[in-house]
Amino acid sequence: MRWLISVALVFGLLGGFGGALAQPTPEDVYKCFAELGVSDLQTLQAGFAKGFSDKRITPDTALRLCQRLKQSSAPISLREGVLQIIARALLEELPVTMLVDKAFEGLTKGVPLDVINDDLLKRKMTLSEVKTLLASKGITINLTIRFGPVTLTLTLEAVDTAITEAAGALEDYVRGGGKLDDPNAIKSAVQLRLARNPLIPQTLTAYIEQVVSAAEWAQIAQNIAKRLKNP
Amino acid sequence: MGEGELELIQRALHGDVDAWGEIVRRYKDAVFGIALGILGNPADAEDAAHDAFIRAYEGLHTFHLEKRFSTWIFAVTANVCKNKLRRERLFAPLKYISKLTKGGDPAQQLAHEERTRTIREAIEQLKPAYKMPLVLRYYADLDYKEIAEALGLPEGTVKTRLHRAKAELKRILEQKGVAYHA
Amino acid sequence: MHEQELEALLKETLTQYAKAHRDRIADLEYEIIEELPESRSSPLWRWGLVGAGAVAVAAVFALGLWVGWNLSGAPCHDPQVLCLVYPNAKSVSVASQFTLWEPIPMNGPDRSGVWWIRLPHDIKPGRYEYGFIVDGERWVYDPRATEFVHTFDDKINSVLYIAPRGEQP
Repeated sequence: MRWLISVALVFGLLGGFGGALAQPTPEDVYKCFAELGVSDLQTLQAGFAKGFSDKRITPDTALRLCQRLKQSSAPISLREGVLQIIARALLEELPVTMLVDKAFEGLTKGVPLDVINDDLLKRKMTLSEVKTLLASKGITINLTIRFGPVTLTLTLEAVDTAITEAAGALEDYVRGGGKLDDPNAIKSAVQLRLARNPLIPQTLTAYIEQVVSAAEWAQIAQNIAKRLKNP
Repeated sequence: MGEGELELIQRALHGDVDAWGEIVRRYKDAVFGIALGILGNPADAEDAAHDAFIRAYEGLHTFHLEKRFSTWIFAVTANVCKNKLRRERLFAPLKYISKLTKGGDPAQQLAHEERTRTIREAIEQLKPAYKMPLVLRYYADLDYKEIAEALGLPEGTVKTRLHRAKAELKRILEQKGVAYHA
Repeated sequence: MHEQELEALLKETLTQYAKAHRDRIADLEYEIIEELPESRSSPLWRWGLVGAGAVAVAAVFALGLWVGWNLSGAPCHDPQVLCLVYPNAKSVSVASQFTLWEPIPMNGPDRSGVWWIRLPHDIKPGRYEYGFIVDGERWVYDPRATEFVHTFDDKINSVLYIAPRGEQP
């Protein structure tokens, strides 16, 4: 009997230890959503499931975000709002690094959740516009581009990072008071940001420089400015 | 506070005296002007400006980086001037006459010079408690809140002292034959 | 004279008076710079000059002090270290994209009031926004950064770049 108890204890300990080392699963994330008291669990599950499958977000990051939101005393609707914006972005196959990052940043800095939600919505629109623009130039995942002697197959990581950095550069340019009537300055800001990220192949950066005009970047910048003016 | 300025202060805190030199260059006119307004004569104002920058460098670790540096350095200046007045019991003998020249009608120019000299004499006659907020307001363009912070006074006290300073100026000017209307 | 006229005249009088004597402070910054190192010299070095034995003892003592002070000082010369000079703070944390904006307490302050933290050794190459939280409530950007961005209307983040190994950022 004592032998059985000892074996059970050992296995129990091992199981507990193993559990502590294991990464969170999607189910852990959905459980957290449910505990948060969200009204539309279905959309959240659909969006985040796609995100996990596409590897645009990890269950670990999603769970940490959910747990941070649980700590907030803001109304459930606002807390759910953050997750819904990210879920919808994932369903639209947008990179969400910037949105997740801004959510965490805002929560740390004590920014009101309605302001965070508003900010995320605006940035999601920018991501969408940048993705559409780059796609119109043939820059999408798994496509191959040819630039000079180089042939490059575009990975998800490369394309998503390019979209994120271009969108980030445009947002920072406009929010920093950059001149909207200087398309060349806008394009330079985008290109510099792309060039400085080591996850974006230099070939892709050079290709974007060639195929996307200053006017096209400037149009998105103007859209950002309009959105920032109209809360 | 501009980004360049915060960088300079950080470097000065690390012992970079050249960075402090740049801060001095940027603020010396304002600091000297405040000291001159309070003390009344250029030699004393020069000494006070010099002392203020030395004191500020030595006490830089007490400056809160997120606050406005200008308000802090003006506060140091005001303190230096207050101590000088207390030590040397200066009562503002007006030794220096402004040698400003402006183009135009000599009679008008004379009248203008006379007027500014009269104002200066009147300012010199104010007691320090009135003179300091007056100089910070009308020379350094500080608002009530900034003056309060610089002098370590409640905002209400600053407003009261400014009001009394102007009332006192009015009385002095009327004595000198300058008509004043509220 | 009306009150507005008096105020304008006050301003003009004070400004003109200062302008007229501005030449007195033409070289003020150079005078201050020259004076500063003198005002910061340590009496310990002066004591060390008295007598040969006293010189030796003082030199060894001073050398020990110098080694001690420098070893305990923040390693701000290291590009993998973030530093903030804030002598009056009770606590300083760094919050950044590389910590998912979770505040991480910094070491310090050292004798100069410097707070510091070493970047995670496994930080991936890329661009990271960050800043410091002083006393749990005040957001302060890093003035040593070379790039800054506006965020959430009234805040500023500093930016740092981590280069792939072997490359300059």
